[in-house]
Amino acid sequence: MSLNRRDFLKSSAATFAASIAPLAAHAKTTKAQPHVVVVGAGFGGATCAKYLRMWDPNIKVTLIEPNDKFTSCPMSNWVIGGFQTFDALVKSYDNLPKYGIKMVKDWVTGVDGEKRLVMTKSGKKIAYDRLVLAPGMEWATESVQGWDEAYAAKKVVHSFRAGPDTLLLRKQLEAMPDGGVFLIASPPPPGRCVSGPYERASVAAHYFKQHKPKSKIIMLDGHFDVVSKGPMFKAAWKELYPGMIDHRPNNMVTAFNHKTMVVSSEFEDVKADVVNIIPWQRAPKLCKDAGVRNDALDRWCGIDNITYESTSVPNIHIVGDPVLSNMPKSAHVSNNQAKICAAAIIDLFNGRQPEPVPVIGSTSYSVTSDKTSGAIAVVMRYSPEKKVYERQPTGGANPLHSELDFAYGQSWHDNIWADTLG
Amino acid sequence: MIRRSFLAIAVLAGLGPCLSAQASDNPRVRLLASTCVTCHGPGGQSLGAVPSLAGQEKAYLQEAMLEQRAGKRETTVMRKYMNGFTPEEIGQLAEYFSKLK
Repeated sequence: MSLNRRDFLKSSAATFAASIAPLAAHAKTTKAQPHVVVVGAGFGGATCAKYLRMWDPNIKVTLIEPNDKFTSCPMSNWVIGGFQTFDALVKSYDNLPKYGIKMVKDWVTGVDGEKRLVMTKSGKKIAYDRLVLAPGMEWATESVQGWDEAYAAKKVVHSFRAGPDTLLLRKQLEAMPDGGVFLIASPPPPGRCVSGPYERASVAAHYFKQHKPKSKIIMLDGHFDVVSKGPMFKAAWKELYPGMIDHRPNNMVTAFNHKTMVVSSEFEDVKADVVNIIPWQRAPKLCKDAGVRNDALDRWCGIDNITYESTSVPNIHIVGDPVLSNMPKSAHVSNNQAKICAAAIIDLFNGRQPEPVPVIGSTSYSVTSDKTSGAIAVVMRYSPEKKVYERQPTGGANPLHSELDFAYGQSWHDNIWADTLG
Repeated sequence: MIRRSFLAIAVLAGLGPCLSAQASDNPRVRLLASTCVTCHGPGGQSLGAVPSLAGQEKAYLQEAMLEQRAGKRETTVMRKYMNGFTPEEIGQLAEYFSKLK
């Protein structure tokens, strides 16, 4: 058990430096060292693991993640637009062990909620007192007929998880002839990063304007309108890319034939040169197998809004995109939920009442070119009476993009990465 | 080893008695403040154009946030944020960040 001491020494230095937490009080009330296992080191999981250790170094934290490095989905559209390198999205996990987090590179294959065990691909069985699932999203590719064959043939990607597909989409746009059609299909709500497809149309238009000005972008949108930052995007498109982006609302895609490159929606068939279809999403199979994907549609994980503990399996908490809620599914929300969950877990271990009125912030910036961006910001406070997170007054999107919001947006990325990872 | 860790915790806590009376000790304030650092940087120290909060004068932070809340100060997103917090919470957050180095 020499790890305990080593972990503690590392983390206590970090905690002290951050001048946080009444350490002695926790030590008095906690008899043993409880163990939290966190699954997934994204914006939700890594933040939760870090804040658990920062706020209560008595808790042992194991963070299980299959990837060697973190790849940021926020800012990945900049790479698709050709004004950021892929390397800029890739961040090290090296700082997390400094908080006393034990990092395990593995893939979680199952959870036994009764025995409180996590099973991994490499054959490990890891016992937990509390489990935090932050596995991100699963894509319902079966909802688009022909998707799997087209993906295998490298004729379609969603690129809504940053990685090799981000670069593949960029290369497809580079190879597209001038005068070609780039088709973006986005799913009906709820889903990850609702503004992402509109930002993607903007960055593609930015690229086409310089290099392929006769090209067109057709958006087949499952939403009834440009539903996130709508006035901002519409004004920016009119100003910077007049006539280039053809947005077609209420137009959910159902099939793609990659041999003919024809995309079919409920209403029309569209032939395109580069196809980017974002299927609808759900909490991953892992959540279903663990018994926590429990809503009527078998898509999301119901949680207690104060502790983020599953409404169906005790001692399993869920943060981030898989959560059933009215909150946006964004990096910022995942990061904020993770802190509320961490604080609640600490309170539960120490026999205290968790904070009854948690507050969530959500800010997101969408670039409209390599110099301009538009912002949205919303604060949501939990109402114990209504049992729902309520949007606070004046929240919403800025009506216009600006160079100032581009600068703030750049800084937002640097700060959320640092807050999450280091 | 675990027991020794507890001793070390007690020693560390003893090293920082100056922290005990601060807003950072109030778990609710600490949790509220943690929503701020997502944009303003860990420990309130920003890595770019978003302003740092750590170590600013409490009165300055409080006044700025209250003016943003009332729409009297030009902002891009802060007015939207400040209307999600009560004036009392804004005072607590100003205190919290003023004490961070």
